[in-house]
Order: sequence, then structure tokens, then C-alpha cells
Amino acid sequence: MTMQLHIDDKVCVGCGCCGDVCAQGALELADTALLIPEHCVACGDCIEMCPTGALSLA
Amino acid sequence: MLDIVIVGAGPAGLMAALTAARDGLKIALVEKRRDVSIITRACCQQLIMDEGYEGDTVSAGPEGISFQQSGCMVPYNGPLFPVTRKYYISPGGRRICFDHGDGRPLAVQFDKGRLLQGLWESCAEAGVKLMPATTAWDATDSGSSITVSLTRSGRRSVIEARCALLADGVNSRMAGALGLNRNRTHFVTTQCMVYTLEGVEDPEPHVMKSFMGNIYNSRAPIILYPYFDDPTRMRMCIARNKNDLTAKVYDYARDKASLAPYMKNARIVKAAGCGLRAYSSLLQPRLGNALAVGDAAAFVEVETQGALMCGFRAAKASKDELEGRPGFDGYTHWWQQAFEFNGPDALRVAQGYALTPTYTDEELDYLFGLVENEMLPGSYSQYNTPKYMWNAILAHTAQIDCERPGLLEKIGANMKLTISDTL
Repeated sequence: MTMQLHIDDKVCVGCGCCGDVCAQGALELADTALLIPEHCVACGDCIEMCPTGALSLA
Repeated sequence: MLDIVIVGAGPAGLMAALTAARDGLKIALVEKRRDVSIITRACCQQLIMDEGYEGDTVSAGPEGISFQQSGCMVPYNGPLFPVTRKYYISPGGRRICFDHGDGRPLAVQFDKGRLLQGLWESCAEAGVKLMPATTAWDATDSGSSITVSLTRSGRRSVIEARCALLADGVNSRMAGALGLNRNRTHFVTTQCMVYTLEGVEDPEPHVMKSFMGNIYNSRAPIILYPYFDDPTRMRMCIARNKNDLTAKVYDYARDKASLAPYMKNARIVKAAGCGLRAYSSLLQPRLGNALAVGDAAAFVEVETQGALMCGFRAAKASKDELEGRPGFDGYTHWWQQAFEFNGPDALRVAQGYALTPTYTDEELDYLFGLVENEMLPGSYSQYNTPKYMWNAILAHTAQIDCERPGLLEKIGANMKLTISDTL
């Protein structure tokens, strides 16, 4: 089972810092962070960046 | 072909786009957000009024925000709120007061969303090709042009221009993609939040307050500051610690020491956050046909006024460069001397001045207590404030030597580099 990024919309404040560090272009920004799953390689850089803990790999 | 593709519609990117478009260049401005007027990231929202800050004199009035040395006027017609007093508060409640004493502000708050939206609309009027809701995630330099890879609702495209201004902030993806970060030192990745609070009990709501102390268990002082002249709201800027995200630090710190009385009935009504990779400054912000401007090239941050100046000057430099003159060299020279973090010893000096974790909370109470009844100059600058503070404290050297000789030795040891500045 491949790892997928999960975004908790209730915790995400929409700062966009996750997308800043995504080298794959897998994160855009609407009111909250928006994952483009086919480009996510589950590297975890975004999780390291997130100030609210809204991101996780599962 | 486009003359310049500008990545990032923060103050630097917007000011660059507006300036370049008004100078007749063909500009595209790429921005990941749909709406720049909504601020969700913890970021600078005031002007720092220290004279000569970042090599210029800034003023704000009904026409806008103007810069004397840079010679530019930034359109802005939103609220301005002057802050005239700042306290540094020790865990035991001893206060160091910074205030010019004559009503001159040390900082002026502005509405960041309104600033950016106004610039965005001015860019539209000036003929900038605006590309909102478009994320720039990669870039290559062919030698004669820059191609930026874009994603918009999952659909990929590219945009090409003769050169690029990388104005995508402290975590610049563009700087990473083009290889500008190769020789930069990565100090730390950290996070902070700015909370809008209601129910704060504050007898002096117009005063900015920094709560310093190890007791709060935060990586940085906790700053409680006004929300314009709205008496019902305050804001708090608070950083994580090594192990816990900010939310946990907030829950822990809010009922501790001198912060507790303010926060008894406080509740968070809005939250903005920021994650950042702190890199050493890019002394050479230009590589090929790309120029990194503002936070993208900085040691953390240039503040809004720095970004506006960077954007304005980068636009002028780009026009020179595109017409065969060494514009980027001129920009680089200004960049290197205008920002204090580009100086050789800036970081070591700052470390020498730092209060926590170097000094215990009891030592902070003692040192702050020495200068509690004095009024220090109304400084907001992160470079000037520590100098004023330590100058004031060390004017009491004879007393400290008599009462706490061990503490005086500790101060001397920590400020080896800076002691000549302060004594």
C-alpha cells in the first residue's frame, strides 16, 4: 500500500508553506492546502514545514 | 517573448511587476493564491520606523508608503496605526520601556491584505499579465531565457521570459530549483503562528509587549501586540520549541509567569501560520537570467518595507540588464550594503546579545529591574533594540559588579564580539 499525504482541513490554516517546499509541484493552495496526488512522492518535506500539524503520511 | 516572469505576488513581486510594467516592460506575475487580500501566513504587517533601517527612511501618509533613498512611492490607502511604545517583560514582570517620548512611532501597522490587493489592482491597470491560483514549482535557465513550470488545478504548463525575478518568499522554490541555494547554510527549519485574540485583559493595549523567559518554553519571545485601534482584539506572535508545535507551546505558556494575567480569558479567533527554512543570506542573488529578491534571498526576512524596496530596485535593474547595462550588478551592490544580515559578523553579534537561553529567568528579572524606570529610545529594529538594551543595562556595570560579579562575567563572556559596541 503506497503512502499518501493526508491534509486535515480543520487544522490547516492555508499558509501555503507546504507548497513552497514541494519539489514535485504536488501541492497547490486554495482556502487550504490542495494535494495533486499523482505527483506526490511521499518525501515528507511538507510535513516538516507545516506549522499546525495538518499534514501526515498514511 | 515576455521580458520578465515574476514569481510571487508578495510586496516584492507586486512592486517589481508594477514598476517594470510602468517602465514599458512585458511582465507576467505568477501567484499561487487566488486572492492576495486574504492573509493566512504569519508575516510582517508593520513598518519599522528606526531611522536608516535597511538603508532608507520610510514614511506613510494618505498618498501611500514612500522611501526617501529609493525614491519610490507605494500606493496604499488603508488604515495606518502607529505604535509608540514597546515593553520587554521578564518572567517576574520587570519591564524595559522603549519609547521616543515625543509621540513618534517605533512601528506603524498597516493592513497587509489591503496593501497587496491595491498593488495587484495597480498591476492590472499597468498591463501586467496576472496569473493567480498558479503555482510555480520548477524552473530552468537556458542561457538566453528562463522557463518556469506551472501547475494550476493539477494542469501543468510552462511560461518563458528573458529573465525571472524570484520573489516567492523565504522558502523560495525557485531559488532551490535554479540552484541558488547550493552554497547556503541551512540553520534550522522552524514554525510560528500569529493568533488574533479576543478577551485579552490588557491595561495598555496600544503597547507592544515581548515576553522573554525560559519559563514560556518557546524558541522566541512571545509578542503580544495591538490589532490596530480595535479595543476588543490583540495579536500574538508565538514560535514553537524544539519538540512541540506552536499550538502546544501556546497552551503551555498562556498561564505562566507575567503572561498569565493577560491571557486568563483570552481565546483564539483567527490563526495564521508560517513554516520556514532559515538559510544564510544569498550574497550573490543573481544566477544567469534569474535574480532572487526579498525574502527569497535573505537571512529569513527583509520585512515588508525591505521587500517593497527590493521589488522596486529589481525592476529598475532588470530594465537596465535587458537593455545591456549591468543592472543586476548594481542591485547586488545595494542588496549587500542595505541589509544588516549581509554584514560579516551580524549573526554572531546577534547571538551575543541574545537573552534566552543564556540567562536564567531570575537573571532576566535582575537585569531588567536595573533599567525599569528608564525610557530607552523607541526602537523596533531587531539590530538596534539589543544595542540600546545592553547599553542601558551596562551603564549599571559598577552596580552589577558589586551585587552579581558572576553574572557580569557571564555577560562579558557572551558578548566578546559586541562588548566594544556596548561599553
